[in-house]
Order: sequence, then structure tokens, then C-alpha cells
Amino acid sequence: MVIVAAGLVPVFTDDQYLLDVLTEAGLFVLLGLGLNIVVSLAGLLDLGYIAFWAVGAYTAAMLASPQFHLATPFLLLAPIAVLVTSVFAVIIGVPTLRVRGDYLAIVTLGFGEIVRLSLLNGGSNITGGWSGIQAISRPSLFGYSFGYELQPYYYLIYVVCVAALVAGHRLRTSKIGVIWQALRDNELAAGASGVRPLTYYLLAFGLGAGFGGISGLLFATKQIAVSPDTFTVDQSFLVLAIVVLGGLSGRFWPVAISAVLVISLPELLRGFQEYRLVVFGPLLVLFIMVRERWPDISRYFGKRMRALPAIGNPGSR
Amino acid sequence: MISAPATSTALSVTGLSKRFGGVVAVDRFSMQADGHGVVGLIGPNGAGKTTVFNIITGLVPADAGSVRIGEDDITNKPTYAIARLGIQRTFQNIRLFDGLPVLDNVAVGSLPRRGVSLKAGRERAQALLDEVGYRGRNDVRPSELPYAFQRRVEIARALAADPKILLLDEPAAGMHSSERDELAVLIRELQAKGLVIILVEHDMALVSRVCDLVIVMDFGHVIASGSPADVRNDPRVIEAYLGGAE
Repeated sequence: MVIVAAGLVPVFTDDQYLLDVLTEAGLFVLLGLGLNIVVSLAGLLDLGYIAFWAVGAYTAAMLASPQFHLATPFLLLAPIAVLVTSVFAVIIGVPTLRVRGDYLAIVTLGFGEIVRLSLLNGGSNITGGWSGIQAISRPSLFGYSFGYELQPYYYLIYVVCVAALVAGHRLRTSKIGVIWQALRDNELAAGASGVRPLTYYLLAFGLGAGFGGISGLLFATKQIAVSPDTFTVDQSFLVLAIVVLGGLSGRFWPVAISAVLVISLPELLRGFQEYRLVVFGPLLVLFIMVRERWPDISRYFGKRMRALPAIGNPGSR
Repeated sequence: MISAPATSTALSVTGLSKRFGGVVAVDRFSMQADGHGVVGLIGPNGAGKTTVFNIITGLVPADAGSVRIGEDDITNKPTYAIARLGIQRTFQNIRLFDGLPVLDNVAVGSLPRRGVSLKAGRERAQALLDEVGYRGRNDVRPSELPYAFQRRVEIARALAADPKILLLDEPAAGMHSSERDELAVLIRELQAKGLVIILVEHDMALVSRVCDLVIVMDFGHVIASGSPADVRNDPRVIEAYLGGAE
């Protein structure tokens, strides 16, 4: 129900500000779902995930803009962006996945910055340097060309988000998903059962990055301009916050809800003006605390709910 | 009795040594095992029994010596590769996947193989849980179960990988006597099916019941071996457990 309602928002309003916030939220839903594969399913802490958003966005920017005088059609651009991002993630994964835990977090943090700085120093004739790439072609699907209006972007991002949610759910409940969770819970025992950890970790990196790639593509073709200063490390932390608030259980549902919450909340707090982030931080902490204690809280209110997913029990699916 | 000619499923360990800093955990340890009996590996705490298991399964690299399955040298191969060659184990400190239900925990044993679907893995898991006498629920997380149940789930997971050689690290810990009796029957049944079983265990009554050969370790090397009755009366063994008369 919530899903269908979310899809109908533009029917009831053409408030461009609202749609802008919600499309932004949609892009972060995709990022959250992608990082959820890596962090909550496979159990790898990645602090440089935003690099994959950048790779997806810049792939789209380079292949559909005057930068290289290319005009790749959108339907071709999408698989290319996903593929390039996934391959890039695997290439980064091979050296970084030699370490685990805190060390992996530090190495991925470093790689995230390397990607941003490479884009910044890429030269005006390749990545466009600090000013990035402009005049990216807007999407054109089945003869319909996107314009300034946000409604079509909203529908497009909405459809991709729903598809990503379904894909995520199916991944989690598949053979690969079960093996990922086994690795997450006890890598040593999974290895002793015959699981080759690197294979499945690279798969998680690659597939997770694919979600980031498609989000980057949508971001670039919606903004029609990309520049390195979008892909800073605090954006990586924001996506991680979305995943953590989503419960780290491996489920994708709570992560999507968490993403909408985390992105739209600062907008709802605009009334606090310059103090809004001061309010936002403690609110996030509060959410996580409530989530953490949800079994106690629900018991207190006399409802018997099953343990884990706090905000992850939407009765709609 | 156990020194039958090496078959393709025999495990042979030769001259295994391992130091951790200044501590010699395993010192030129050798043993043989094949399908003709259950081998018990006993010794006081810290004798090196679990380290031997860890080296065999590739979790800890050996400093010297070799581990072979039949003619194949598997010394220091990656853990997953050794698992696929047919060695499975359980852990002294139980290692189950606590984010997964019991059924999927067992299924993970067979899933790494090509062509095994999740559905097939789960069906096999169900059959194995029945076989090992697990009587709990399949949809709960392992940590919600008593120890004895968790140990059975671990054995089922190990069997799901169709091992030739099964290493059991203190499988009876946390079990009461009737559960130990059932475990003894299970071990005997598995052995009868041709599985090579090596058992690390402190419960001498269980060892006496199920083992054909007992190897006694102390300070990393073998101090005695033979039938359970022989070993129990061996003065060196008594000294290792009770201390010398110095």
C-alpha cells in the first residue's frame, strides 16, 4: 500500500520542491539498498561507497554529453553505467578485500577519496576537473523526452527503486544471499563449509556497486551536470547512516524507509533554519536507539512482535 | 587394527609442528586414520588437539610436516579448498550462523557446491537434521537453542558437505548422559557408513565406547596410542593427566 501510494504522489501534487526532495530520496534509496548488500548481507564495512555513485554518474556524463561529443541513448547508457560501476568495484575489491573489519573501512575510505580526487584532477578535457561535466543529455525513453519538469524523473526513479527493492529481496532469499549471511555471521565456519570468501565478497561488492551505478546515472541525467564536490566522504557516511538505521539485518525494506526518512527529515526541519542539522543529528541517534530497543518498547505497549526489524515490518508486502 | 593399507580416503598426518611465539603447540605430531574405526584424540588441556584440527582444516598454517588425504598433499591449502576435498569439522566453541535459521545453517554445508540449489540444499538439510536426531525447530536462530541441539546442528552442517573425513571437536560438551548415549550411537552409525572420524573429547566414557584407537597427546606430541583399555592403564598417560611423582 505504502508503495502504491508513493508511486502516486505526483498525481496529487506538482509541487516541484516536494518532488525534488522525494527524487533525491529515491536516489539515496538506491544507494542504501546497494550498500545494504555489502554491509548488512555480506558484513563488509565500506566507507567509500559514494565512489560508485560517482563512477555511475561520470560514466553517464562522459557518454552522453558534449564532453566527448557522445549521445548514447538512455536505454543503452543504463546497462553500461551498471556494468562499468560493477567492474570498477571488483577491481577495487581485489586488493582491498585482503583486509577485514576496521582495516577494510579505512582502505575503502581511502579509495573513496582517491576516486573523488582523481575526478578533480582528471583535467578539463577528460573529467572536467573541479567544474565537472555539464550539458548531460536528459533521458529519452520510448520516444518520450524528459524536460525540466520533475514528474517524469519521479516516476522513473520510483520504478527503478521498486525494481531494486524486489531485486534486493530476491537476492537476500537466494542461495547467494544465504551464503553472504553465513560469511557475515562467521567467515571462518563458512570457509570450513567450503565457501570461498573472496568470490562471494567480490560478488557483493560488484552487485552492491551496480545499485550505486544506476543511482549515479539517474542523478547525472536529472541534474544534467556532475562535479567532484558532490561525492565527498560525508555522503558515504550518510548512506552508511541510512543502512545502519535500516537495522543491519540484511532486509531491504527497512533500508528504503530509512533512506526516505534520512533525506527528507532535514528538509522538514527547515523551520529550525541554521540549527536544523543540530536537530537532525540527535534525531538520528534517537531513531537508532528506539530501533535498538524496539522489542522492549513493543512489549511495553503490549504488542507481541517478532524480534528484529523495527521499522522493517511494513504490512504492505 | 587401524594400520590397514592406505585407501583413497585415509587421512595421514606426518611430522606436524606448530609454534605460537615461544610455545610449541604441536611437536612432530603424526597419525593415521581410515574408515576402519573411530580415532579418539585425547590429552590434557593445552596438549595441542584443537591446533591439530586447525592445521588439518587449513585454519592455521603448519610450520612443518604434512597432511594428506590418500595421496593428495593438502598441507596449508586454503580452508575452503580443504573442505571441498572432503574434510569437515565441528568446533569446540560452536560456530553457527546466528543470523540464519537452523535449516539454512545446515544448508550452507552443501550450497558451495556447483549446481546445488537453495531448495535442494534445504531438503538435504532437513533430511540430515532428522538423521542426526535433531528435535528442535528449524526456523529459529541457533543461539535460541540449548548447546546439545547446537552441536547436532553443527554435525548436520558438516555432513551436508558430504565429507570423507569428519573431525569432531568435543561434540559431547554440554550434553547430559542420555544425549551422550545418542551421540555415541550416531558416531558409530556414521563410522559404519565409511566416514573417517576423528574425535577430540574429554569424556573418557564416551571415548571408550566409540573409539577403536586412542591417541594421547601431551605438550604437542603423542605420548601413547592404542585401544582405549591399553591407553587407560598406560603409566605415561596417567602421569600426563595426574602429574608426575617428582
